[in-house]
Amino acid sequence: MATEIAPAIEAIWQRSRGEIDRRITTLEDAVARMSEGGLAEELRAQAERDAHKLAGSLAMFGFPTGSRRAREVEQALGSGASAAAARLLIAEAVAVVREEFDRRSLPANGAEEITAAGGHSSGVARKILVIDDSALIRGVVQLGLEGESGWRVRVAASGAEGLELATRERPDAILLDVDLPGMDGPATLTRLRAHESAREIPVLFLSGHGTPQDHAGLQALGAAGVIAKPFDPATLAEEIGRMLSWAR
Amino acid sequence: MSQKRILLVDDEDDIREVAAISLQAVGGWEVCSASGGTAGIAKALAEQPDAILLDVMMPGIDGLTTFKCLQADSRTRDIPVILLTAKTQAADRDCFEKLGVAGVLSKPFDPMSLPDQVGALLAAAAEGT
Repeated sequence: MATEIAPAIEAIWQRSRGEIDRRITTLEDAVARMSEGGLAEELRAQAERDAHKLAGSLAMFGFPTGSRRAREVEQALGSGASAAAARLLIAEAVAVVREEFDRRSLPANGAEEITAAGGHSSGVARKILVIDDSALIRGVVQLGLEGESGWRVRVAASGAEGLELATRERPDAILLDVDLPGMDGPATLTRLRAHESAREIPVLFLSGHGTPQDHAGLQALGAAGVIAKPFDPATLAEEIGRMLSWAR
Repeated sequence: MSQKRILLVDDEDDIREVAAISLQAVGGWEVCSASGGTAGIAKALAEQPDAILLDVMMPGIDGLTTFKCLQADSRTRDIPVILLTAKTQAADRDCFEKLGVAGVLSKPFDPMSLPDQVGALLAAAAEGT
């Protein structure tokens, strides 16, 4: 019997996973806000609802651990999540849920389903962190990589927020604006390289300064490449893949 | 013998879809569904299912209110209702069972064993009446 309903459940999973991903992202946002000491009630309530829904559905799609951990998150958020121990539990549980989701999201038939234009041989959707203070640039990157290529994009509006996300989420690559206010791009890169869990992540600068000398100077800082602004969102994945030698 | 029909009431599309597949393909049920309490009551009145699987936590009219409405109407009063709930504490389950439901099932459920669990609860409830 299992084989009779497995394809149907897989089809439901394929339809539902975008929504599940969105819910996990809400939990991640709540974790980020908690680490900054300010989780607004509206986001806490939304995260609690999303954790509840995740707990109810994840096990159906083959990850009971994710379901159980989502339930822990729901309960911890429902109890106020003010204690440091509760915040740690939530952060750790959300990371487990994300990891299981990402693992389950690998297409069963290889690279056909989720392959970026500049994709890679394993067919895994890449996770990219973009650190830019411009909401427009962050949106264009999301449009290009998520909409066009099926990659997942995390966004940060400052170097500090980017550092936190990079160490927690371990993206496959980071797009880093050079001219960030406060801790600028080069300073953020230095901090990333000093952090054990982020130092291996390739960084591509986003730069509005287009001379070869500028680019050479940025690469000398340890960046894997420089993407000139403005860029074409339709070919951004391909450009990233080429710069990082990700196989097609 | 005509096919038995069950009404699924849950606001979550994916849960409703998986439960429907499971109950149809594994359990042999004919399934109709509704995404909320109000629609569920209307479907119950119109379709007169043999059983109802009812989510407790729903926006708008929640599962318990929906159950009370079903109980208050002579046309739906005798349809056995199984609650689907994330609340797993014994005290919560006792509280639900005292309302007169045919049974309580925990979320998340296993799609492979859901029809057996539904069948066992309905059989036990029928014996008890």
